[in-house]
Amino acid sequence: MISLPLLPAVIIDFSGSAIAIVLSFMALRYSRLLARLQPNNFIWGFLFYFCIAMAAFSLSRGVGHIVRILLLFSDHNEMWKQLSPLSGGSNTMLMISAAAVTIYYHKGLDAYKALRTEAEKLAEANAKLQASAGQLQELNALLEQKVEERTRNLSESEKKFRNFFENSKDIIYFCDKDGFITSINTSGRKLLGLKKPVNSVTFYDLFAATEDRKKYVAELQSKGFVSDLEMECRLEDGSTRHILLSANTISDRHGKMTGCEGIGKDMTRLKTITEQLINHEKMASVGQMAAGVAHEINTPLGIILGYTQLLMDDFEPESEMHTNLTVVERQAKACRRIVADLLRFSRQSESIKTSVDLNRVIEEVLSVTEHTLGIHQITVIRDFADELSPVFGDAEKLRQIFINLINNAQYAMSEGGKIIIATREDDDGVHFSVTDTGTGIPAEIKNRIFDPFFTTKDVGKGTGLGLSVTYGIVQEHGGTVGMESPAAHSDASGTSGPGSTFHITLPAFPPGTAFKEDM
Amino acid sequence: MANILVLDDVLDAVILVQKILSRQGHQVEVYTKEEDAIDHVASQPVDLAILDIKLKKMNGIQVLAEMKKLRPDLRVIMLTGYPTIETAREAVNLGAGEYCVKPIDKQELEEKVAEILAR
Repeated sequence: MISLPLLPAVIIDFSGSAIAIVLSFMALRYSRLLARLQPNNFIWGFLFYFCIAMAAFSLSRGVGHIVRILLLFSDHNEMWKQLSPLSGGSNTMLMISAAAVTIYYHKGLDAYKALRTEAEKLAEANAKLQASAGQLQELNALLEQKVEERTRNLSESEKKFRNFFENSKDIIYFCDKDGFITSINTSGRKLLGLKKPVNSVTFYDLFAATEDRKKYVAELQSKGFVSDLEMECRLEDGSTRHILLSANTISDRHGKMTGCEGIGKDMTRLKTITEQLINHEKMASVGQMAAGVAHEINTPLGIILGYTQLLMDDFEPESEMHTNLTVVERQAKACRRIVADLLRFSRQSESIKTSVDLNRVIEEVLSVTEHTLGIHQITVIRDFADELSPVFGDAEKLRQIFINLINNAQYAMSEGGKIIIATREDDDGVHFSVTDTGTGIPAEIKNRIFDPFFTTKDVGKGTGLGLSVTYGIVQEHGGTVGMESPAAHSDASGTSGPGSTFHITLPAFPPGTAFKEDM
Repeated sequence: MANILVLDDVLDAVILVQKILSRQGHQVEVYTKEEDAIDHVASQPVDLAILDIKLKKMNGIQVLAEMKKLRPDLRVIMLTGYPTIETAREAVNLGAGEYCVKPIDKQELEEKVAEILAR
């Protein structure tokens, strides 16, 4: 129960508590505004937290006083007694918190600032990291793009060079330091006739001439490259090819040779054509000279022969003078034959050309010569085409070709052997060949065999005009003549010698073909 | 026996032919100049002319043509060291009876002359 004289004090307590709450919250609001206005101002910051503590304390104390007044006025003293320690404790705690704010605010602020600085640094680092990550991602994307582009370029380049390598008609090869072929294109394998695995073949083995190989190796070692080296290649099948070679060494970063790479151009056909052309020109000029000489000799020779024969009439056939004149006549006639041969070689003798069956011409020649060949242990093998177009030619001169070739074959086979005569026909014309199993023709005289007066026969055994006449007749007929030794025909091998083969091609003259004056 | 004219630009050659044919009993006149030979044909009886084709001023074919104009029935043997189908054809077309390639054999010459005179 409360006595009346305390009423004013109670009213003041009640209203004072309420006003204290209101004022404390107003102070809190104001301090909050100040703190927001200047967040880094230490005073405003402290004031704001102090106001929070004081507002909480004012609220606790004010509410406590108001509740106490209301409970006392409503005779709930017992309840207040129960709540009173709680209210007092709460007030004390809040007062302590206000004191704690006063004491620890600056430390808390320092800790906060430190934390905030660290957080800012972390945030900055994080931002930098993110920026770096972004940059890295960008770089990565660029790198990927560049790698893709480079890969594509590389792939295109690789494809381009692969195509060049594979489609080139020249020989392109790579070797290791010992000369073993590590890679070679299809044309190279084909031109060099390589059948076994290429890495078991050294490029050096392909050289037919030791001098060429030495020059190739020496130039690679001394200069590091070889330019336009003409080499003769020996193929596995024994044939040869002429290659124009350019190569250079491949070295590692220390300059040590690790291998070589090169390009070879097949010059075989060009070389053959050039040789044929030179030979043709040579034969033409020799022919012209031979024709001139033959004509100049013809007249005095005729006079010598005529006077000899005239003189022979003046002596008895048994007399010594008649015998001597017979020798002069015989030798003069021999000269006349040589002159006639020279004229035939130089295509100065006239031809009577008709349609000629070559198989028949060969048979006619063999019917005369085969018996003699048999005596000399020489067998004739006929390998004739069943169907053969005729050629337009002088049968007598064509017979002369076979007689000359068979005579030479017989001479090359003094111990006997085989003569294989073959005839064929294709789009290029009618081909025939005469192969023997004789001694063969040495490489060093191959270019001279068609020259007039060139002979390997003993003196008196031949004039050296047989093949020249053959050459002249073939030329006159618009054909070509060639020779290879060792012989080309497989049947010719392994008998008595390497042998040789003469190939002749003449234009075909199928029935119904128009006559041409210039043939 | 026949009157024979021989024309060749080489003197030794015509004398040789003259000697060979004279022994056969023929009357042989030899010339090395074309115009002299043509004059002879124009003025003298000639049964057979043996003409070389390669001469100095004219060729044998031209001489043959000139002689044939003067004496169409003249028998002619052409001799040449440069036989060609063209000259042979030309000579035959102009009336030459024989076309022989030098150097000619004595026996062959005698036979050719006897043969052409017998025609």
